[in-house]
Amino acid sequence: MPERRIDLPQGTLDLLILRTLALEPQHGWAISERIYQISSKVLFVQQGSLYPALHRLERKGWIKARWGASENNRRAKFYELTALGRKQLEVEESTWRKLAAAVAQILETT
Amino acid sequence: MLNDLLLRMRSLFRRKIVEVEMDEELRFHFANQVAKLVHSGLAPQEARRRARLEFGGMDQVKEEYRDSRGVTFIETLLQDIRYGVRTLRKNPGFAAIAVLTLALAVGASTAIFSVVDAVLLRPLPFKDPVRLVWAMEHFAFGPSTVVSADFPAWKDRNHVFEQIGAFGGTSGANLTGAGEPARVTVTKVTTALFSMLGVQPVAGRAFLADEGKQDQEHVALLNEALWRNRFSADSRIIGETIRLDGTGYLVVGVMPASVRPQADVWTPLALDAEIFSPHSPRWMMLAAVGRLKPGIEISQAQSDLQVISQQMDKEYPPQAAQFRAHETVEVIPLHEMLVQNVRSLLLILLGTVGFVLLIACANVANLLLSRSVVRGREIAVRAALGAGRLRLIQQLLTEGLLLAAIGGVLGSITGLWATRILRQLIPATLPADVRLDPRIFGFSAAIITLALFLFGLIPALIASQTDVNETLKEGGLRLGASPGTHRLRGLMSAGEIALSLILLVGAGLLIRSFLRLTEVDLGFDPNGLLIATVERPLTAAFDSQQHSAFFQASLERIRNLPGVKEAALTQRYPLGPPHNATMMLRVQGAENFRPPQPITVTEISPDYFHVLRIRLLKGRTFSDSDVATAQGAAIINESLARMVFGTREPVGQHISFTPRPSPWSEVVGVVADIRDNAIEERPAPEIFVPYLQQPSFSMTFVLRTESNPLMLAGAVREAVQGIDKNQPLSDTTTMDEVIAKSVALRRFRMLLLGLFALLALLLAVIGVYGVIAYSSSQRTHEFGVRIALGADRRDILNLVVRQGFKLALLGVSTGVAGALILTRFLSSLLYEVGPRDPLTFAGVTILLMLVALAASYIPARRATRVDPMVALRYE
Repeated sequence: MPERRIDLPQGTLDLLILRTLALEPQHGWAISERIYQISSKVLFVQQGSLYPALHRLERKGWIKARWGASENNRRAKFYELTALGRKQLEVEESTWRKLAAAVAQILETT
Repeated sequence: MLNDLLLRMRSLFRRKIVEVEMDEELRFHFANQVAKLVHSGLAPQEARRRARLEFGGMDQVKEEYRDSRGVTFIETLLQDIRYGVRTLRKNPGFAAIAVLTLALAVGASTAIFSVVDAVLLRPLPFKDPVRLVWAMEHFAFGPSTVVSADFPAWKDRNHVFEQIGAFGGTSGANLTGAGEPARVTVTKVTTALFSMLGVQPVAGRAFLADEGKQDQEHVALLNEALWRNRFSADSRIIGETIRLDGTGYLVVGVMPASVRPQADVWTPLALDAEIFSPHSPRWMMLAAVGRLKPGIEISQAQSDLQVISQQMDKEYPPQAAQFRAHETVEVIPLHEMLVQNVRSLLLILLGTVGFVLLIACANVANLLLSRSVVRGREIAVRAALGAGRLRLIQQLLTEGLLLAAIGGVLGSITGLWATRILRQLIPATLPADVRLDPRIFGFSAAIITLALFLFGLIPALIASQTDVNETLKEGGLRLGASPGTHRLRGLMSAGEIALSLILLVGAGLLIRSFLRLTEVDLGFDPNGLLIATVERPLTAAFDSQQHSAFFQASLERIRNLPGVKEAALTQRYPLGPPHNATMMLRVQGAENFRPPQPITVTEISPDYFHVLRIRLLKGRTFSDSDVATAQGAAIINESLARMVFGTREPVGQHISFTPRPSPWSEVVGVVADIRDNAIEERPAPEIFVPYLQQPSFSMTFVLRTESNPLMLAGAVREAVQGIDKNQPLSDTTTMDEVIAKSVALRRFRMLLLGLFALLALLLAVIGVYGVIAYSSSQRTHEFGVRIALGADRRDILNLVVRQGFKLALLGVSTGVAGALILTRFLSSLLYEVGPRDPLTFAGVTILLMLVALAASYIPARRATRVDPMVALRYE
C-alpha cells in the first residue's frame, strides 16, 4: 500500500463514481477498486464515504441499483447510470475540466 | 423527486429488508477486500485484520449509511415516542398529574375560545355582514332608537345606504285558531328588511313591497320554530289565516329561526302609517339597520344621518322642540351592537383561561424538570455514549410532545363538552351558536404547541446541558440540579402564585359584589309570591272598561282560591319586564317643572302594597272607592317625592301625567322605594294609580300563597279561563325565580371566574409543594449534617418553611401589583365594590400566603424527621 493517499476534494467523489459507472454497471467494491487502480493507487475511497454517496446518488435518481451475481457468483448489488445520471456526468465533467484548467493556469503563471 | 420519496418510504416501512440488504452489501465488500489482500500474499488472518482496520468500524459505516437514507429524524422520533410511552407508563402518577393539568387548562381555553369564536369572531349569518350597521338617535331622555317620524327621511334622503330597514313595535298577541290559545310575540318589520339581510324564507315568500299599507290585506310571516312546534312544519299553513288578538292575518311564508329581529310572528311595517308623520299624536320607537354603500365609512353615514335629523327638527310641531334638543345620531356596526354586552366579559374570561394555561404549563415544566434531574444519570450516560445535545433535546421534547398530545386531545374533548354550559354567555339577540369549526381545532392545536414549547423546551434545554463528568462522578443519588435550574423553578412557582393571586382577586371581587347584591333591601317581601300575567287582546272590540271588568272578576275568583292568602293586580311587577316611562309630569302650582328623568307610572289594585309588603310612609293607600268616577288619586314613591316636592309635604298636592287639559290627580300617599328595574339599580321615581281609573289591557296577578306558589298556577289559569276561555296566561312564575333570573348572569360569571381561580390556586399549590419537596429532598444530606452538628428540628423546619415563605412573598407581591393593574377591567361587572377593594386584596393575599406556607410545611415536616445516620450514609 503506498504511503501517499490523497483525500478527495469535496464533491469529486460523485463525479468519480459516475465516471466509473459510465463504462459498465459495477458493485460497490469494484467501484472503489477501480478508482484506486486507475488513479495509480493515489485515490482511496473509504467505505464510510462510498456507500452513503451511492445512496445519495440513488436518491437523486442519477444511478439505480439492482441485485445481480458477481464474478465469483455471489449475490451483489450492482449500480448503473440512469439517463439522468449520464447527463449529470457530462455537466460535472465539463465543470471539473474548467476548474482544473483554471487552477492549472493560475499555478503556472504565478 | 418521486424516486427520492419512494426510496425514503421504502427505508421507513421496509426497514428490515433495507437493513438486511445493507448488511449483505457491506459484507460482500469486506469479503472482496479480504480476498484481494490474500491474493496479494497475506495470510488469511492478517488479511482480515488489515481489511477491518481499513474499514474503520463496521457500525460507524452503517450509521452513516443509515443517515444518508434521509429518514433518521422520523425513525428516531418513533423510537423516542416508544421510549416516552414506556417511561410514562412506568410513572403513572407523574403522567396522570401532568396530563390532567394540561387537559383542564386546554379544555378551559378551548371552551372559552369556542364561545369567543361564536360571539366575537364569526361574522353574522347575513349577506355581506361587514356593511350592516345599526343606526340610532340619542335623546336627553332614555332610549337610543329611532323615532318613527324620522325614519322616512333617513330612508329617502340619505346618501350612504344601499338599503335601510327598520323594525319595532314588538308586542304580545293572543294567537288563536287551532288548539290551545297561545301567547306569541309579534314584531313589525319594514318589508325589505329580510331581503336586505339576505335571509331567504324556509317556505313561502317574504313580504312584498306594498304589503302592510293601509288598504292591503293583513299578512304575516311565521318563525320556523313556531311553525315546527305549533303547525308541525306543515307547508299548507301558507295561504291560511291565523288570528292575532282576533284579527285575521294571511300567512305568506316562514322565516328561519336564526333571522333577527327575534319574534314568533312578523308583520309588515309600511311607511304610510300614521306613526311616520311628525304631526302624529304617537310615535313609535324603531330600530334601524342599514346596508352601507360600498366604500362608505361609518363616520360618513353618521354625519349624513345627523344632518338629516337636524333638517327634520323644523318639520316637527313646536312642542317637540324640548325632546329634540341635543339629539345626536350614532351609527355602529351591527355586529358590535349585538355583542356589546358580553364583549368585555368574554375578553376577561379569555384572559383568565390564558392565565390558567400559563400556570398549568409552569407546573408541567416544573414536573418535567424535577424528573429530568432525577434522570440526570440516564442523560449523562447517553451523553457519554455520544448522544449530541440536539439529539438529547429531541428526546426530551418528544416526551413533552407526548404529554401535550394526550393532554391536548383530552382537553379539547372536555372543552367542547363544556361549551354546552358556556352557551348561556351568548346573547339571545345574536344569531350564533357554538359550532365546531376548523378555527376551534386550530386554536386548540396552537395552544397545545405553545404549551409544549413553554413546558417542554425549557426543561429540555436545561437537562441537556449536563456536565457528563460531574454527574457521573457524583453518583446516582445526589445528582443536584444546578443552582440556575433551581432558581428558575422557584421563579416559575412564584409566577404561578402571582397569576393565581390575580385570578383569585378577580373572583373575590365578583363574589363580594354578589354578596352585596343579596344583601340589598328590596323594599318588598319576595317570599311565596306567584306572578301570572294576562294580556288582553288589543282590539277595538274591547274597550278599557271591559278590560277592568274582566280583571276585577278574575281577581275576585283568584282571591278565593284555596291556598291563596292575598292577591292583587299590577300593571308591572318589581324586577319584571321593562315598562314605558313618561316624561310628561305636571305639578299644580309649579308650571315650570320639567322632570329630569323618565317616570314610571304603574296601575295597581288597592291592596297591592299590602300584598307585596311595601311600606306606606305617609297618607293612605288606595281604597275601593277610588273608582273611575271618583277624583283621581295617585301614590308616589319616596324618590319622586324628593325629586318633585323636596321638603314640602307631598300628600294633598295635585299632579298630572297626561297632556292637558286632563284633570289633576291628588297625591294621597307616599310609599317606600323598592328595587324595581334591577336589584343593582337605584330606585327610580314612580307613580302608582288605581287601575280602575286608568285601565290597562295587560295586568299581572300577584298572589301571596300558603305553600309552593307554582302549585297554584293551574288554578289561576282555570280561574281566568272560566271568564274568557280564549284567554291564555302569558307568563307564570314566582318572585324567587324572577330574582334568581335577574342575578343569573352575575351568578354564572362569578361561578365561572371562581372556578378558574380555584383551579389556578390548586395548580399553584401543587407547584409550590413540588418545588419545596424536591429541594428539601435534595438537601437531605445537608440536614443530616446540621442535625448531627446539633441543629434543632425546629431550625430545620424554619429553614425549609422560610424558603417557601420567600417564594410565596415574591409571588404574592408580584401578583398584587399585577392585580392592581388588571382589576380595573372588571369594573363594569362589579357592584358596590371598588376594583381595588382592600378587603378582597388583603383576604386573598393572606389566603395565598397561608396556602403556600402549608404547602411547604408538609415537606418541611418530613425534613425534620431526617435521621442523621441515614442521611450521612446516603452517599
